[in-house]
Amino acid sequence: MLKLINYSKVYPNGKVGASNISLNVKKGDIFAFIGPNGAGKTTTIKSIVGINDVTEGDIIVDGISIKDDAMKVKSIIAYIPDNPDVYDTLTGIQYINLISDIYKVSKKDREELTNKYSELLGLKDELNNPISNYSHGMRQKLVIIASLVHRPKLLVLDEPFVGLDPKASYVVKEIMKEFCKQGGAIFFSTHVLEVAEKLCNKVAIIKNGKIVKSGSMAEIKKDKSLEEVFLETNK
Amino acid sequence: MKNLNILLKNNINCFLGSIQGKRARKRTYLIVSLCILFYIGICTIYGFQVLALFKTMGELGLGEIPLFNSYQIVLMLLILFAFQSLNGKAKTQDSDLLLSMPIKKIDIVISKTISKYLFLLLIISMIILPTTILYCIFVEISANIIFWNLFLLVFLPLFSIGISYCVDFVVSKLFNKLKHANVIKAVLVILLFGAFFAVYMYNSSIMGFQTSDTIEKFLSSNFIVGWCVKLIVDNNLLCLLYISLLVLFLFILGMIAYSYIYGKSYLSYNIKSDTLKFSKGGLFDGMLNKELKKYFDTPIYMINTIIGPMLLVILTIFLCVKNDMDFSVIFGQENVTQNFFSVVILVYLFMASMTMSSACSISLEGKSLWILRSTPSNTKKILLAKSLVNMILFIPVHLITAIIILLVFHGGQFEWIMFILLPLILNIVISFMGTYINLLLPKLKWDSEVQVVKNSASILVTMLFGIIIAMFPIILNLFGVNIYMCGWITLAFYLILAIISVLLLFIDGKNRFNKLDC
Repeated sequence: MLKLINYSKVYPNGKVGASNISLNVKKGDIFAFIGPNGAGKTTTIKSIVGINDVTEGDIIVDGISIKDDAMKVKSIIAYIPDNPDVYDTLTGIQYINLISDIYKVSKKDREELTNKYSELLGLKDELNNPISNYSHGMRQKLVIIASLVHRPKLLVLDEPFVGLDPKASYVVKEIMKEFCKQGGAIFFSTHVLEVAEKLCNKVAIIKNGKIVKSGSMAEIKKDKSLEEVFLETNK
Repeated sequence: MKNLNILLKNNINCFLGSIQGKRARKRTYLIVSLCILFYIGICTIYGFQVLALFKTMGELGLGEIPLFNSYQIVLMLLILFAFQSLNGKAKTQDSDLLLSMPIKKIDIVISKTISKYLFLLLIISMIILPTTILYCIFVEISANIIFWNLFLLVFLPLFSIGISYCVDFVVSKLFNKLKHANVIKAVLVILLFGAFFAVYMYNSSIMGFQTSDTIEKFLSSNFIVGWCVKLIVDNNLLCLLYISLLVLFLFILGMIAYSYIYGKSYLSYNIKSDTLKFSKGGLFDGMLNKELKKYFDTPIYMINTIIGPMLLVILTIFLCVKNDMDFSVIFGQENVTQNFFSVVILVYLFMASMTMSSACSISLEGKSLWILRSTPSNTKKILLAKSLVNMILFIPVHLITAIIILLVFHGGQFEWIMFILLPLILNIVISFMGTYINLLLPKLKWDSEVQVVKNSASILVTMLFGIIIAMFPIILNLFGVNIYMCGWITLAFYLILAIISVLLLFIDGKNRFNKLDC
């Protein structure tokens, strides 16, 4: 579903954000992307979703290169950023309608999926209110709902659990599992290693823009905890 | 007191940090030098503008008139700035942090007030200082004149701050709970400013007819500005009392009100409803709706960019009501009847160049830009929607008011073509070019919309560009080209510019949008 082939990103000021990264995320995978602050996680994620350009190498989503057809790639991806900055002047439902319009979601689908996920995440009663009234967690929930409305094939999440209450975190994890069972794939960064350990079947550790470990969770962990592996690689 | 010093130092550091950007010292020197040049430039331009008035009125012994003119502008600026800072948000970005520290709330409020005060002082000094110097040269020099002018310079900013804080209080406590609070706020401000501008235009139109017999009545009929002039010229202590009472009352009331609301959260309207409205539209409709909603829900954005169309409406009403008067008083030009349409079209061109909501539309995306960049949105449609908002603001008002003026003043075929087409095409150029300039000079990291709508480089460059192309027919005329040729050459020039701006935006601008850092 997602392939990074020798992907590198160099910023215009010469700073290397990511260097020679190769990863493979298959259908049904929940792939954890972990690393210390400033390691290059967000840089890589932003290239996958088409925000950052690719300096070298390529990113292939569902067989399509982002270099060849970024719009087609974007139409099958849903991105949830680390900071849910959304349009304050809109109401929750107006934001969902805007995103649905962009992805050309039918009225029936947007109604069905919005109702489903907003009820699960406990945001339905707030959708008619302006986003400026929302807390960080509520914004995060709104972004999650809007990202699922167009039935993406690949979910790319950057620190998705920050600001969510325990119940919402549980619901999001269940949604992620269900999403992968139905043939989707998830690529997400997190600092909560316990969650990554329990939820993911694959993991990659990035440090200074380079992948230092990558593989199935069992291969990487062996008989240690993910936290111990992470600390060893960051000594 | 110690805390107040720390906070003031912090405000200065934050200000310097914001102008330094990433290129530290070199850039700071450049920007500070540019600011000083700008300050001197505005003082000089204003000085030259009132010079003729001082010469004429000084000879007639009516030195009060140029003073009145300057203080009228000062008052208008103070009111404009009082309402421009209006947002109804009692929380600033740093309010939680500051309130959590062992600092008295009043110290925080005073430090913020001092920063605001210094800014206003700088702004009105660009009007009051040249006025004082010219008054001393052409009318009369005395210690009293200088003292009262300086007194008003340091005292009047408190008036603006008082109004601004009182309005913030009212908005936070009452308005924000209403569903269309921002639209109501902006409309009220526009109406108020419109009314003030109408008074200004009326005063300007009758100012030149004053004589030594009528000047006293004229000044008495204009409360605040009249009081200022009488205080300076006549040492009228009763006027000093009136001004002091008004300004101090508003300032103290404002400080109490702002201290009360500072740091508190006032949420907007709340609806508990299960009924969700799912509406399906195209990408372009969705983008345009989003842009229009952003426009009408951001008072500072709306107030800053709707002045052009608003002035057109006021001007049209004024011209139609006063269609029998001698317009040379307003336009300051001889044989104005023959050149009436040329002058009005020029005014329209300047208004068209002032309406430039698109020049900050990209920057206003701010931290939300990731939404457009990560979704399969057609960049051309996004840029078109952003540019179109500016045209929606100006073109309908332009067409309606221009047709009214053309009908009332019996415009000929040439006037119809020029009056309809020139401002329309100029606005199209500004709309597309504004978006393109914003893509060249984006400012995506900001704390308040004011930084983007008022203080960003793209706004200044677009404004400069607009003024230069609006002046194009004047430049042609200065080179001896007759009015008819001026019109046709300008029309051709604007058409070429419109084509260039569209091509620039949809070819280079599209690529730039897709490379924006978010």
